[in-house]
Amino acid sequence: MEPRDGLPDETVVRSVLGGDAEAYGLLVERYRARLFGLAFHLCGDYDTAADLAQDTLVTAYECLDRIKDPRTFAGWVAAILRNKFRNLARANPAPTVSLDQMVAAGFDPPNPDTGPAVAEQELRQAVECVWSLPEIYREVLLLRYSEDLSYKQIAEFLGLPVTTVTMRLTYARRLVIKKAKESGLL
Amino acid sequence: MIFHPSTKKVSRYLDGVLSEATTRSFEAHLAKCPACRRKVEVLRSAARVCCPPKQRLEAVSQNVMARVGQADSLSYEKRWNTDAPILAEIRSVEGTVFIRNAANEKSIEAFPGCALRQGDRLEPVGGGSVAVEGENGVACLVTETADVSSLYQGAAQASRGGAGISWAAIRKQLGARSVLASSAVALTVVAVAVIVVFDPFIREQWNYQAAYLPNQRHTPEMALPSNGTVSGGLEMMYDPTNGTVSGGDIWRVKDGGAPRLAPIISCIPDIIISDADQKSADRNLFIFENALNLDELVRDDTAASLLKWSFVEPTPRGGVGWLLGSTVAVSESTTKASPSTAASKSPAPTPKTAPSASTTEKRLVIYTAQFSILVGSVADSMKDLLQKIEKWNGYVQTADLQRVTFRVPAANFNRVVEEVSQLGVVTNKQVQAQDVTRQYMDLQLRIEVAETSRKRLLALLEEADKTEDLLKIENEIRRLTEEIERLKGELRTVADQVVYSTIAVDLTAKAAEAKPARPRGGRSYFAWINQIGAEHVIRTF
Amino acid sequence: MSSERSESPRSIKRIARIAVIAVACLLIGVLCLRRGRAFQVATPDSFAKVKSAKSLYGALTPQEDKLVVRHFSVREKQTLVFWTDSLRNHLVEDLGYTLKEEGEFTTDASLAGHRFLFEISIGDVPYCYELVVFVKQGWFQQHIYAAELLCAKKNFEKRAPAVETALKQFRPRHGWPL
Repeated sequence: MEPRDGLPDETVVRSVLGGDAEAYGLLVERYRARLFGLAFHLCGDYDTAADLAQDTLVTAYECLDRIKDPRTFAGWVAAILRNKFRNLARANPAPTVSLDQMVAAGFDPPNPDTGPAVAEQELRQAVECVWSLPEIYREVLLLRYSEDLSYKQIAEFLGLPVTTVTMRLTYARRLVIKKAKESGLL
Repeated sequence: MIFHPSTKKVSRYLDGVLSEATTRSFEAHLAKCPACRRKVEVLRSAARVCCPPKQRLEAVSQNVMARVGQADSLSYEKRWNTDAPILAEIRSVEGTVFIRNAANEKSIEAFPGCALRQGDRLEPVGGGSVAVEGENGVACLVTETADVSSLYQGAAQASRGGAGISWAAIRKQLGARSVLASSAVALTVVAVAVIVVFDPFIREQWNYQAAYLPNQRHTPEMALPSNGTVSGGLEMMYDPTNGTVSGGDIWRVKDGGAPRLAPIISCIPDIIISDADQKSADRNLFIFENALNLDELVRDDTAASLLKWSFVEPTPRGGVGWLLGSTVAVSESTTKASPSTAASKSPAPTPKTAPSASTTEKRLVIYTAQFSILVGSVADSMKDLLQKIEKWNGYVQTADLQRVTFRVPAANFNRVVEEVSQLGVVTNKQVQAQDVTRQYMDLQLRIEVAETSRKRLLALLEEADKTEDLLKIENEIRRLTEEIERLKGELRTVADQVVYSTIAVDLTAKAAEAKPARPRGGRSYFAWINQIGAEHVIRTF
Repeated sequence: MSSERSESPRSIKRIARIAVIAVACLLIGVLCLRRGRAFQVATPDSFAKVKSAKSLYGALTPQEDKLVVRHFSVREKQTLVFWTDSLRNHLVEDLGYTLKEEGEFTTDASLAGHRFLFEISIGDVPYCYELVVFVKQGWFQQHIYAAELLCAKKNFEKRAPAVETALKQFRPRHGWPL
């Protein structure tokens, strides 16, 4: 794990385990976007995703002493998230998300200076494209852009080999292009 | 024709993993190509919708930290690696784990293992003890102030057993499996060994050599009973050269001494000849005493023994002797194959072939033969013949490069004649048989008579008192003795000639080339044997 | 760290297992698929090897004295005595060779064999034909090695000792490794 703030996960985890609760804030900041991205991919709703991410992080804190290897915090916390999602909503697959919903839930469209109508139209269609992707491809795409992660980080988070991640990203983009062509965006 | 970059390249570009040169060329292309530019824009839009809004994330953070703050502080008891022996726990006064070094500086790392250096000192704060997590996750206990160096040493020692990848670990893990594997291998080896040792076919091979002895006969060893008689149905031939009896089977006898051909056989055990003239009507059975040397008997001078033992009949049919008044006998040999005389140019009379019936009288016959043979190589044939003479139990009387006169036991006479005939091309063959029974018996009689006279004279000698009578008697006795000696000598000679037949062979080299081979043109049953031969050798090259 | 510890011995175990199987297969392969000639024989003095095949070795002298060593794999398992008798019978009776000498012949490696010396005539020229036979047991068959020397009688005195020396070094490569 490349440390952003200079401290590897392992150290931070140990600090937290040592009693330094504030240190946990570092981890939260590091992983919130990823967890959010993953949760969003899983449940398709900003609110639920936010709640999920929150709960995950809190549970992670509470169960931190049970972690087997402090270095695998990323994968560990992703597993917690998946478990939580599974427990939460087995029957609810990710609903199709529309831009309106996203905006309503707090999505921040880009600067209208770039051309609002075009931008919004485009965004709408982009949302549809992304959401119509098969799950595994959507997952990597969302993760990639939730926080501008590197391949390795995505791989670690998802527990996949790096080559798989690369391949899936490429394919996801190809699918996006294809759907964009179909929907007339391209 | 413009080549648009593949989606893969676009993807890589968006992820920023292309090399600089490639990125530049890509961007150059983008500047020129609106289609690709559009693609990239679309993907960027897609990217945008994936980004979670910042406020949301902030909200998440805040909520989490709020709840974390409310949670109980984590217990540190479980954090130690339970594989390693936990020797102590760190307790700190303020609920925080610190390590103070010698300068009483607090370490930044909460876990001392990460930040401690050699030379640091640890001291329990507020009493209690200090636990250190070593490099391998082994905790060690410090109950009082201690140096880090010593702690680490202790930690290293404690951890040697189990941590990391070590052969001990592998062996332990592999333990059961390797035991299984090695035991399986051992079992296989044992099974193979058992098969090899106990396979009946294989063992048979080991014993085979003993079983297949083509040119030998079995020589079972026969232990002699102490009274020297042996029973069994045996057909024997008497061999006067060594006083032994031989037959279809060669028997060895052990009587405590070295094994030798036994002069003892009894065919019909219960017949005892006690009377001088008594002979079994149709068999002439003879029983010899243990270790009796018949030769000595034959050559025995005393008339008494001559009476007891009268040696007869070395006919081609086999040697038979009869011993009168003794308690051991030998049985008569069976008929051998009747001698087949090869067609010869000589007008010699064929030897008298004794009839097979055993009811005939025993006749004493002297057999002689003369051969002239053409052979391919005189030296080789001579060597051959000399070897064969030994085989026939004969001995050479005279020999030179081409001629040899030898004597064989009369029992073998016919066989020898046959074999000599096969030495080469017989140009001359003569066989004589001289019946000397009468002569022999005459001699015997005369000896007997002379002996009787001598006995009488000896008796008279006792009674005589006049000197001239004494002298006369003594003269007569001397004359008789001389006569007896002479007669016995003659008898012996005759007996000798009867017992041993004389054969003279004259070898001449064939003028022609080597003996023609008589190939049957046959083939062996075994394929590989058919590939053996000079022809195949030549064909190889 | 503890999870790592439990994982690496497992993979090591797997690697070790694969290695053992690979080595075993290699050994079995080496034992079963032996290549090369079925026997080892030194070329006698003044002979030149002209033929070499899996079961055949042929050598010649300048005077065309021929030495051929061959290997036969035979299903019927018999003793050396049996084979020598069969050979003698075949060569003497069927082919009409004249047997001059025969006797035992043991190599330096204690492989027991039998030696025959025949005299034959090819055309009008007398030849000596010497045959040495070795028998070695195999797992399912017997291995018979036959060395034949065919040379003109006048050369025999010269060639025989060299050939004998070479045959003493004869080494078969089949059969039980005993």
